[in-house]
Amino acid sequence: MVEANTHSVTPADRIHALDQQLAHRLVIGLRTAALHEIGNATLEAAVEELHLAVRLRLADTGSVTISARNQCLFVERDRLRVAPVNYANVQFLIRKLEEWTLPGLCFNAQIQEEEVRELLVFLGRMSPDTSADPPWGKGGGIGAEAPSAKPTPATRADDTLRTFAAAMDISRDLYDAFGTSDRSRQRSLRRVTQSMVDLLREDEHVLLGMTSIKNFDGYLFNHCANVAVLSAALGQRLGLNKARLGELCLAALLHDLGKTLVPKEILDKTGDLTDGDWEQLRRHPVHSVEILLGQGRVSPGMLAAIVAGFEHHVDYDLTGYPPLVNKDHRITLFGRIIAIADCYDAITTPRAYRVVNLTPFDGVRFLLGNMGTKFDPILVRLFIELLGVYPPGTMVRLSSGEVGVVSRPPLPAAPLDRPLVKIVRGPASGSLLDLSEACTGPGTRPAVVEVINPDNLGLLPALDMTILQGSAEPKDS
Amino acid sequence: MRSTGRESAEQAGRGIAHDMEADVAAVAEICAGLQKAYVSMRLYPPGHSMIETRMQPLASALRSFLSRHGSLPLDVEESRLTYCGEPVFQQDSMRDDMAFILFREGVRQLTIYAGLEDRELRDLVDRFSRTTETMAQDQDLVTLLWEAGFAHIDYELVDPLQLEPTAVNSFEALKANTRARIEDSERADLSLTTSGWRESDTALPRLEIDRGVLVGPEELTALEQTLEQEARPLEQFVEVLSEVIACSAIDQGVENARRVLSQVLVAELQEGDLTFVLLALDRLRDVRCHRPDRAAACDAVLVDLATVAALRNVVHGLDGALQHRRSDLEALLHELVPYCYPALLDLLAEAEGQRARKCILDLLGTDPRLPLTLLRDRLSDPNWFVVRNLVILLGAARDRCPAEYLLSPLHHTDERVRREAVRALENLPDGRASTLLLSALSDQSSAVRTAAARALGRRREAEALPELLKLVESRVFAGREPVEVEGFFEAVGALSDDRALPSLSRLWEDRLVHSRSSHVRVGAIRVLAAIGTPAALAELERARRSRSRNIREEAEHCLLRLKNGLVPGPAS
Repeated sequence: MVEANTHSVTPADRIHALDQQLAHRLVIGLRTAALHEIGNATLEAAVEELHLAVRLRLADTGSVTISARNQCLFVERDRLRVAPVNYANVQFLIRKLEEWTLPGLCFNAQIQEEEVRELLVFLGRMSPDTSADPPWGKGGGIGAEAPSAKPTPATRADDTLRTFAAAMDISRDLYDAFGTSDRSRQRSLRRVTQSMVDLLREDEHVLLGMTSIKNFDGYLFNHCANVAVLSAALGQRLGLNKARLGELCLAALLHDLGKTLVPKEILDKTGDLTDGDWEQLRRHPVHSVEILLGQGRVSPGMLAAIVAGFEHHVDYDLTGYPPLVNKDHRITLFGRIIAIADCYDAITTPRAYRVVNLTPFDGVRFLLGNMGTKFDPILVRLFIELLGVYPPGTMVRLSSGEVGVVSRPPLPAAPLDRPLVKIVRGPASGSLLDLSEACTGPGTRPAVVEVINPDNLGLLPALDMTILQGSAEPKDS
Repeated sequence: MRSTGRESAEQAGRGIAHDMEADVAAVAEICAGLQKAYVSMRLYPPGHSMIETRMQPLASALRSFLSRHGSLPLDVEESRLTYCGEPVFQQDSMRDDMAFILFREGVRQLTIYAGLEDRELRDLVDRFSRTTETMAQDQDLVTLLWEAGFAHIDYELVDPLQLEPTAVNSFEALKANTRARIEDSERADLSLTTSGWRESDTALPRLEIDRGVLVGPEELTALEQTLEQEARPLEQFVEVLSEVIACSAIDQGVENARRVLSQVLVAELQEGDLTFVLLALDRLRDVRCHRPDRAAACDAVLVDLATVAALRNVVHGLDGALQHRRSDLEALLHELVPYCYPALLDLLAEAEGQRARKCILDLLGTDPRLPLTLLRDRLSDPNWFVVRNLVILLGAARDRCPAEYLLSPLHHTDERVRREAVRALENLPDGRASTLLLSALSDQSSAVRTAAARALGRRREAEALPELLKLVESRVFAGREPVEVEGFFEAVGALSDDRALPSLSRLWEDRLVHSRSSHVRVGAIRVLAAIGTPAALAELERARRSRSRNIREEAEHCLLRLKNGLVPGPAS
């Protein structure tokens, strides 16, 4: 139990620690309630801990409210800081409150342990369409905040589709025009990156799923959009704030801008590259900087893009390219993130010159095999926490004999080799299977036994068909 | 009196209309308050009382409105704001017009919700106030609002994701292709397989994948620290620009990197921040080592830094800076010296602080590359102290400085300049320096004459002795200040030999009338001791028998000291 140390912390720090503790205990309680029956010792311990956390927080006030607004979690009026350590908890709680269209939960001084148990079981086990009365409407120790007057956002899937299309479009536009000098283009670029960040903050998995679409005709633009999504999602895991996520997303979209100065025949070459070809190709990080510096005034928001564009092929051990004059160079976080996202997307995208295209699982293996040399080892592991061992798009054969496509990474706290799989061959074809849940029989859970490389294309799009039925055009036109 | 149903309806209607009017008036007041607050924030520095004067009524009016209505949606038109279709804000001028700024930025609705906190409101107004034309290039208002992530403020934009028709078509094609791939997945060839994740897979590092967490709290904390360290991206930017100067294969690329690096560093210098400038100088040294062919680009950066405007803060910062910072400032100037002679001379001219002046004089005075013509060309400066500084530097140049450069300072109207010129001439090996020093013996200032005499003595200019003797024997010399007399005799003593004895005898000898002044006679006795030859000793013996008591005593004293091996020079 965390008890704030009053000798070394301010009252505000103490409250903040209690807020963190309260949110943490609530998440633990909800997850435990989803798994265990009433009476189970683990659940009872979780109830007791949450009750204690509430009472400690209520020591100074008559009530305390946990609420979610604009993808931020608040305890009373204070926004809960999202650090990497509590990222998953905060997201879980926001999603849970959203799922129940519950702007906020209010705990009053008279709260009893029984009410805490009832709340956890109700929220943890019931679905929002249940006809049962919620525990917050009974006038006891738990209340609900009035629903917000804010309009609900347009459907996420539609927005995701439009945003991803816009990201590809703006990439094409930028790469065709060799840069961002045009002011309106810069603004469009910002709007797109902001939209991407907003979507990732709401639900990263839909946008992450889009990265499994591989566009054979517009590799570069598609690749840049994918790298932007993957980078920003990893940045989000790190707890970057909105502004920095926006910068990261922008840097990732622009990271390969220098390729516009590499002859197209080299980029599209299907045979082996000559030494001369390699030399030209390896200049593209420097070309990226040259292009962006040549746009005249360099805005503060572009600094990170310039640096990351330069660094994205400099390895973690400072080998790679371009060769550095300063052997003590410290690669920026953005540079390290984009290097991972760039490599993962590049090697998992089918290319005509490859004899065998790699699966997303191969991509993960490559990252793991090169962590500490090419890639930052912590970021690689965080990336795998994000995507799972079998990232979306991976085609897998299960121990049950069924074949499916990974449609979503494992849920928070689930084993990383147990994603959500859409069955494409087998008796339950078309259904979605959460490999982290018990489902087929006593003591058995289907597990991935084999990774399949379908048609030697490496992967299949991990998208729900309903998303693809949306339109990239504006809703009102 | 009971009202009819129709009257009730009319009353209710009037009530609603009245409420609406009141609401519109309240919103208009809020909008006007918002406009005033944002203009104040733009005009006054943070914390100014005027800002508080504007913010408090605005916050209070908003709280009151939101407590009744829950939200305040404002529709944005090109030159006005409306609430429920009613205009609530309109300005005649577009300058600073909140409605126009919002419209220009693509905002079409701004909504404020109940629960708005004071800091959110302040932040909103602050972000408005930062929307200048210059700012708009870097961070438009929408970006500022977006980054703030307001919990109680929303905005709607014109569709930011509108695609060109061609883009729509190509994306539709991609979607169709993707749909087809998904639909065809049942027919896909599944023969190419690999085994899944295995704990025993030795090719992969062992990971604890069961917990769903691969990165521990300590590692995350380390990453968080990295994030904090990278709060200022300028360091990495400066590093990368240096690298690009080294590795770009395109001349224009090198030039652009150099240009931007210069801009960044000049801006930092003007802010008085040396951190990145010193870092950049380090990096540029590395570049020179690895790519000698890029030395010109590196030099160009330093030349850009070596301007008065860029260095003014640095130089002014020398006075009053703490020791470690002063060392940094001096190190920077030392690095830049070869590129900024004119700038440093300008800054020397305007330096008021002692440290700044000393630092520049030391830097330039010890630099053997300092072009002396630059100094010569500035000797006509109307300020005596500027000329004096230049003369000090000319003197420090020693053998590189032609004596004639000091001619004009030697005739400067200000005595302090002339005196400095004499000091400078003393150190010049150039033979013409003696001629100039001799001319300075007739200067109108006693201090200059004295300095010139001493300089000649220290230079051991034997040719100057006749002139010095002539002067000390002159009638007018008897009336000079003791310090000047002492200085002249010091020079005479340094240069004299037996040839000077007749003159010295004339100076100390007793006379019935018109005897020299006492300090002249004593000075002559001391010079005899300094010469120290048998003839000079004989002359001292003669002086011991002088009628004048103080001459006898001085001669006695000198002989005693000579006997004891303590040579009494004129300076003793």
